[in-house]
Amino acid sequence: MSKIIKLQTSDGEIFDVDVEVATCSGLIKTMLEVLGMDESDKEIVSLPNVSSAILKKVLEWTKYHKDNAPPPELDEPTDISSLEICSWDYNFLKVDQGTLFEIILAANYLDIKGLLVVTCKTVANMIKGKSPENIRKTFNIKSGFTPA
Amino acid sequence: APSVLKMRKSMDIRRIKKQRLEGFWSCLPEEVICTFYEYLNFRDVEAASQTCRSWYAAFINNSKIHRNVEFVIHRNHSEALAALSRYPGRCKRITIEEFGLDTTEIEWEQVLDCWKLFSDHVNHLRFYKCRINERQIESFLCSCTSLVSLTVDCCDCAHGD
Repeated sequence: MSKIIKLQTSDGEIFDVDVEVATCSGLIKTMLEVLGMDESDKEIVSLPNVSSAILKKVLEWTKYHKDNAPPPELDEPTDISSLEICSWDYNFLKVDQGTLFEIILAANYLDIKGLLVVTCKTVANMIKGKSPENIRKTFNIKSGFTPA
Repeated sequence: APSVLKMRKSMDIRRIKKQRLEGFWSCLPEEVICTFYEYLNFRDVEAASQTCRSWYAAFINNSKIHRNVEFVIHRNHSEALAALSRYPGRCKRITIEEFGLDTTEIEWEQVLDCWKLFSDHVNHLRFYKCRINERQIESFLCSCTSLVSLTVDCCDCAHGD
């Protein structure tokens, strides 16, 4: 029986998460290392920057990649042409822009490199080949900004 | 500490205000913007950097982008060279594409004149779908003092002149 950790989201919901899944997050891994595993049994780890809806998505992703295809490593040399992401990730990220944005913030905050990479690749694909004006339209960026 | 909380609150308010004004994508942390820039070529990064202040700041502040992002000098080279001259010495990875197919002697001279202004910073040079002879490759290479790798892909390389 694997250990369970309790995670509390910004809206107060508490999730019981397999430690193996939770430690895909660099942030939680470090927390547990600092706190020690025994203490974390009783304690609830609070994640004030993540909502329950987004944590559900993040956990779905980490569970899938823990059991199936391992996520890509960020440290590998960047291959410019490899904007491809696997079909599971592609379908997983068929979400509205607000959700994609929140997942990116959560991946960054929780320090889940693989998730950050696929979400950033998704954003890069949305930018690719577009003019600044079209990028603004795509991402609904309202800015009168023009660089000198 | 209360002062930290107070500071955080004012940062949150600033963030929300910015979000309402410019849209939420403008509010991404700089390191995240840099992460997706790494998957784009120089042209796309430059275009993205023109959209709002934070995306521009990420572009200007991060030297890693300039090291990793590939800059393509296509046959329409005047635009590309002008872009490079805006960020002298910052782009380390350059691809020269479809060059020499219909390049006139004057254009050739212009390209080499510009090339010498930044070529000593180039680490990775790639020729792609070029029709170029040994002498021309040499004139590109002779000013590349920091070159680490050279790739010649799908090129028609005539020997001699």
